Amino acid sequence: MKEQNLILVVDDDREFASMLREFLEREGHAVIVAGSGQEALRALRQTPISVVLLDLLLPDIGGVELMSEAQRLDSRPEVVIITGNATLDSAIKAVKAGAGGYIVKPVDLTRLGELIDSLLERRLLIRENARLSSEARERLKETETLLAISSTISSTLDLQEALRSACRELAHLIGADTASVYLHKGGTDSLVPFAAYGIPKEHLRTHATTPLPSKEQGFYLPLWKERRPIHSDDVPHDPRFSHEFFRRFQHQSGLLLPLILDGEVAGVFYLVWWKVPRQFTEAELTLMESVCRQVSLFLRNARLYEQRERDRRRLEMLNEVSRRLAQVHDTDGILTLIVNEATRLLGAEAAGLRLLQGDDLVVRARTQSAMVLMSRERLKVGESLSGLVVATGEPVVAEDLVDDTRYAPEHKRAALEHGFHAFLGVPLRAHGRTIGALNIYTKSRRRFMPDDISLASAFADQASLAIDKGRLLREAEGGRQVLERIYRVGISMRTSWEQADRLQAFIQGAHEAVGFERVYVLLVTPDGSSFELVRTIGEEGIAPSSLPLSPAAGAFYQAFQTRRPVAVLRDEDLGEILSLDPAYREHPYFRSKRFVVAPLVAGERVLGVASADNKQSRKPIPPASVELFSLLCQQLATAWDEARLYSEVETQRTRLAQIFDSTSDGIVLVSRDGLIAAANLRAGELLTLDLAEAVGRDFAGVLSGLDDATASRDSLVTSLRSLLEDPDRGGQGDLELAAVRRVLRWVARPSKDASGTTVGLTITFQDVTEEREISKMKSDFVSFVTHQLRTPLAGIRWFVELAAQGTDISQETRSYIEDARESAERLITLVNDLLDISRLESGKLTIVPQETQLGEVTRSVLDELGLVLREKGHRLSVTGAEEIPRMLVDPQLLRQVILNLVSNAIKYTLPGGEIAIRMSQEDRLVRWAIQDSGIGIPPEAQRRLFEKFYRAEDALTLETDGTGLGLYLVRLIVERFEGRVWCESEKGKGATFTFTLPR
Amino acid sequence: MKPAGKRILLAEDDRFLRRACEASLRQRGFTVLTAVDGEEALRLARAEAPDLILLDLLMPKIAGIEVLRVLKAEEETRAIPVLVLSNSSRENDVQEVKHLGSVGYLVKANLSLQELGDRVAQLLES
Repeated sequence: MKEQNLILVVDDDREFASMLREFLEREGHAVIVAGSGQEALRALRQTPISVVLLDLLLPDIGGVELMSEAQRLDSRPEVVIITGNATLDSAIKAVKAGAGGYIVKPVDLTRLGELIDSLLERRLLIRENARLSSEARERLKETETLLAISSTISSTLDLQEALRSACRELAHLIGADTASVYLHKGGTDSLVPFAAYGIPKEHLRTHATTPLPSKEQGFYLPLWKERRPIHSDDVPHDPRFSHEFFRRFQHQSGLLLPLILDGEVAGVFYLVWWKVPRQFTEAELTLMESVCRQVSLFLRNARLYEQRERDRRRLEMLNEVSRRLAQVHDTDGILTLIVNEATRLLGAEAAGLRLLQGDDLVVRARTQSAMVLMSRERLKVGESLSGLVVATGEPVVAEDLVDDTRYAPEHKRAALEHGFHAFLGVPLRAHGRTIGALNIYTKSRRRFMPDDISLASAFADQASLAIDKGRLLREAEGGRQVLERIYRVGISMRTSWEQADRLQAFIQGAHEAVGFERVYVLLVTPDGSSFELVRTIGEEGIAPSSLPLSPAAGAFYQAFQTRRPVAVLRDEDLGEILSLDPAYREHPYFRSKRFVVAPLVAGERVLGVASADNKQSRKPIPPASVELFSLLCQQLATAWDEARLYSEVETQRTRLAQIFDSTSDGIVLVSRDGLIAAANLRAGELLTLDLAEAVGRDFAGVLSGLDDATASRDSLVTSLRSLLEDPDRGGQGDLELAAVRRVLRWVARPSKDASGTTVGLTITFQDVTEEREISKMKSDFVSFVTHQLRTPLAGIRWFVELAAQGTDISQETRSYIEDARESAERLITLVNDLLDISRLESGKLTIVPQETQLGEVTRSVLDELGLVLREKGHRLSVTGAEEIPRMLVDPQLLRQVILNLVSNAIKYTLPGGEIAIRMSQEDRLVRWAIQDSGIGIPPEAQRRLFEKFYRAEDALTLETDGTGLGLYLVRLIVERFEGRVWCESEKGKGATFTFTLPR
Repeated sequence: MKPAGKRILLAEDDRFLRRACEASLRQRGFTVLTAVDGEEALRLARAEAPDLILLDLLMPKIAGIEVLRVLKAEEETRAIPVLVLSNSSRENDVQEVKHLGSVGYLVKANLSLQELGDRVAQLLES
């Protein structure tokens, strides 16, 4: 498609101008005509023009002046000069001023058409290039930002900090003035401000306190339902952005980006441009979405982490509350404690308890703040929200009381008046019946989550227990002592977090405090198919290990199903109970005439049943014992469930600890003041310390107490002191434990907490005894090679030399001696190379740098090889030696490099070849290259040439005495000087070996 | 100055190297005294006051480096130039030998008798 281009014809000759216009329009261009320079300038400034056809001789302005004026415009039009009197001088002037073409009248229209087409094409290309290059720059910036975001958010668990930096990066990436992030507050629809970047000072306060409106807004739909980015380049007039929120910050453009987590909108970024009307390309939006995905992933991790921590804290608090409850005897005191603690733990503002009294629900306890909310002393069952809870026996949740029609009107009025919005009510149950409700109120709108409900239920269970206990206390004549014992059982059940311990405390308590001879517990199996006998006391004889979870289990099933205790205290009671299946009835274990079975109910779940009797003595069971027993069963159930939750949380921690303990490295965490904060088992083994005992002690002190008084230990102790002053520095070294013949490599790194603050050192110990031994053996071998091989070799060399001095030797013998000399020297060279390689590899070779001139070293090598060169008849040239500055290198090693490269060139070039050595210096390095006219090196070999023992196949056909060590040695040396060496070659056309060294 | 008459003490425990070296130096007209271990080397150096000592490092009884240390510590032998001939090229040895005041350090395997003779002659002339 031909892009619409505007062509301006400037000519005072009207007739000529309209002729051009007609022609150009036929060619499909849009044309405007100007009859004077002024008119042309006006046109140029008004509309972007692609090409100007310009007559140089205008009545008002000079053509050249007009042209340079045109070039200053943003559109930079192409200018074609059309002139009637062409001179060489004017043509040169026009081209100098930047004319794209020069045409003489009368105009050859075909040529003009072609010229214009080619100019337009050039413009198109230039524009395209500019676009591509700016896109490439953008892409680079995007990638960098993505990296920056993902690295900040993966390096910290600090939500606020991570999101703040995400805001910053986002704003930079897309050029927004400010960016803020709002997070979905659990249980509500509101998005509350969480972190921001670039908010001007005067707006900070408003920003921090204003949640992002959602429901009332037009963008509610796409944001919450379709989860798309929403943007506007005219926020003040956009109906979707009509909420007052957007009026508080007068801004031109806005972009909302949803953060999706587990299929829910978890939050949103809002980016603002104060003045610029900003539109977005599809690519930009896609990029933004991918950033949001990253941030969402991070949010998930942070949430999981927070959740786990919160669960743990809640459980610990709950346990603490339970312990305190067990110690308080006065029921009202307990209930007040319960409403207060429930308020605190649930993060609510008010709570209260109503209990059933006949048909009425009577306020029994409430927090100070709940006075106004529970103003009516009595309610009927089914009336208002508490009544609903008791009537249904189910929790009732109201997210916002404003919309609730079930709430008693006067209560509702009072609640809203005092700013309360959300409600949670859970039933209080006792002996399978609902006896009241625990109400929780919050001022913010809130959707209570399952874990909130279960926590509230746990408090409700505590409350029923307390009420039951209080009743028993009143009812039981002289029962105070028994109750004291029950309280003690309650406390002892909570002294350990182990489920087994809690079970044992229960059984012991029922046995001793209530006085049953035999107590056993049947728990429901995880698959829900049967009861399993888990703990028993006072019974000899074997019990069946399980019973089906069905009516066949008789009274056990009945207690499970009805959630109420089942007791047979008299023969008449037998008619009331479900009888055990004959298959079990005859079992000696169950042949008991008087017994009690109570359910273990924790919140909504029945964990199992507990049974007690006096089977052996057949003593009657007093009715009071049934109540006491089921009370204990309730306590056990809550205590058991808490322990289960706790153990789940603990498992996670244990798993981490196991990973910590199962690494093959020893790890010691040292606090900033030098104390051992933690250590894994392996560290203890390696350091031969009892670390369980050492935790909490000064690490340097512990190390100093080691039997091995080696220098390496003192050096670790010293390093430790300076590391503790500046942990971020890190450090490493070897620790030798002579007594156990062990060498440990230690590495110290700073340890950081979630916010990135350095809190101490993490020191890892790795057993490197074997590595150190091997390395010692290696160096022993090296000295063996040097002495034991070189000595006899020197002997051979010298005797051959002496033999060659003999005068009465035949020509033939002399050639044998010469060959023997050469063989000996070759062997010596090989030994020397091996030695050098071994020492370079182990880093043992000390470099002795001296001022060295590359040209001089080359010259001396060439002198040494002069004889061989002449024998082979090669032509040699050396260039650039004078340019090279002196540099600081080890001349011996450099000499070795050059010697090897030159020897190779001589060796692998057929006689009479060309060898050229070129030296040059560049910006930061010197370059040395040797080119030969030899057999060349195939490409696959070029890459491997510098490997140890590698020899190209072709090399073998020409020379067989190479060891494959020379080039490897060259590489080791050059790399030791931080240089580079490589080879370029085309097969049959010789090879060039080049090395560079930094100056 | 003619080398003839100059006396060289050659301390070398390897009998082959000793023999080759001795033969080569004799051919050049030097008088060669030989020692097979460090102890003998010290004894001969003190008793004979040679013009030059060629000293091996790895030798029985007293190590070459120790011999060098003693030679340089004693008044009567301090002035005798000592050229160390060894097959070890450990940097530590080289550094220490230089530090103790030897006139040179040569690796035997990398040295021809011709080169050795030239070096000896040069040392004795200066």
